[in-house]
Amino acid sequence: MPTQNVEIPQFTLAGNSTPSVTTDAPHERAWHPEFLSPRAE
Amino acid sequence: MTAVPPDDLISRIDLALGSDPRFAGAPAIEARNLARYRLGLRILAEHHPDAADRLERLSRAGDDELRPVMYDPVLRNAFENDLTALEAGEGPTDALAGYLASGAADPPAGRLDGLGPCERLSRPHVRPWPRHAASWVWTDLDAGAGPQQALTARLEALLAGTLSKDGSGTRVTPDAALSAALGRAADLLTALLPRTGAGVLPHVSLVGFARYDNGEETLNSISGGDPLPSALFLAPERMDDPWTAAETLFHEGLHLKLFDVLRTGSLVADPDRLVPIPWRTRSWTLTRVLFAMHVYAHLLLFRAAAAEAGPGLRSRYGPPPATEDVDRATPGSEAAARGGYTTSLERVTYLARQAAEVHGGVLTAEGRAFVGWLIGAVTPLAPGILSEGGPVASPPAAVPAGMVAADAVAAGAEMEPRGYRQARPVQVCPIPEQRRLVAVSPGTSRFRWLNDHAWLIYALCDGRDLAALRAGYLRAAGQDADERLRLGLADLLSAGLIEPVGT
Repeated sequence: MPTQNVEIPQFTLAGNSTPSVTTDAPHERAWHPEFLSPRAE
Repeated sequence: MTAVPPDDLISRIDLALGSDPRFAGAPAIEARNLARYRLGLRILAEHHPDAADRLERLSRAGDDELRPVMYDPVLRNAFENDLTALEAGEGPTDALAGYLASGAADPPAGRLDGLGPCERLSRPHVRPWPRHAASWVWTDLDAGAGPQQALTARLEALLAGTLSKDGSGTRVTPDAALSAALGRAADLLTALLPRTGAGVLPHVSLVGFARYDNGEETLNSISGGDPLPSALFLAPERMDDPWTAAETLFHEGLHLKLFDVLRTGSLVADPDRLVPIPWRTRSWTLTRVLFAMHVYAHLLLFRAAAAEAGPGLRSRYGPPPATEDVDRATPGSEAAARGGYTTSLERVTYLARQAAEVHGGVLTAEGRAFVGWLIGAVTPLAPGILSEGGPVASPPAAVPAGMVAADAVAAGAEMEPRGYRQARPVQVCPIPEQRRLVAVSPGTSRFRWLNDHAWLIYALCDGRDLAALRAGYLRAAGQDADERLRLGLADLLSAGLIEPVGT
């Protein structure tokens, strides 16, 4: 559930892990893939 | 060396392609999306005081109440449009708040019925594969009375915008036989590929039928991104043969799965990057290349599984396709003139090399992981998928993975001795089972996805000074890695999630 507090996570980090902050990009979703085929001759 | 039985190999690839929680596991993808919705509903509530109670209440609702509403094509589209408008500084817009405030999404008599708002208007009501997912068929829609009328009109408008750029596309109302063919297609798909086949169906809310013919091309199928989310449409003719029907359903379901993945993490850093496609006359964006590669990689598996199908499936559904071809090259294309690029293997090999070897430098870190995962999973079926020794392309060596140039500069800067604090207001939703935290940058509607390492650093930015921050990090992370702390702080600063103490 959403919260306004950031609790310290109780995880053991993998030795080779690095921090990662990513985001989404609406432009990647603003289309609709069409599966069209050339019209049969 | 013992040869691996083909069906065992297929099962292994089915498992590899169907279970990864980042890119394939439907429950994990859905959990991330629901967390994003809960947080987004809170953001919208701040901008719409009149509907704040409803938005807040939905944000706090259980999955069984939240999911049918937010996976409804019309309401999902409204949510995304509202969030995009806020992010672009064009908002606030009140599309979702309007539907909720009007009561259009309310179940009858206030009792949960497990149906989405548009699904509730379908007549007859058909769920084609109820054992696998709560998808529904667009049969006919009751125009409804009162607020529901707006849903019917909006769904029709979204379809018109998706299908009919030149007015030549039309929706087809399915009869009982066509609806039944959907169930048969899903039965075959899930029998053939228990993980990947069944794993696409939860991403499908709405299934419809449509025809489109512009004189040059005909529609086989289409699926919706944010303009018509969670929806796919099939040409009725694709249902004639169960194998073609199952493959087409798989194809479009995979697109909807990838759209759900993309809602929680971008794959391509350059939206304008174009890639020539030998079997088509127009270039594709790199995003479209990844979508097609995702499908063709899975179709390799589908065709391999079909070729190995046992007598039970063959007697029930007839013989599987005898050809490796997926469709013809477009007249005027390089492949139409010279041949080739008609099979999944040829196409996925071309697309994988473009994504991994030519354009890998403009993928995000997630995008590189996605391409690497996909190639790794299907390499047993496509040993030459990459050039000899061809690696998944890395970003320039001077910039560590996951960083953009601005972050690299910031990471080289001194850390603030007075420490950092979380920017206010803090809006987060933890997903501990996936070791992720989703946060919204204050003053924006931009979602940020933190892995466990970034989550830890973010949590430690509580106003303590740098010495205490370092000590806390060392204690919790168990590693003396100042560079990683610096990198995490730079990313969090760049995202607007933290600020230096004293500013």
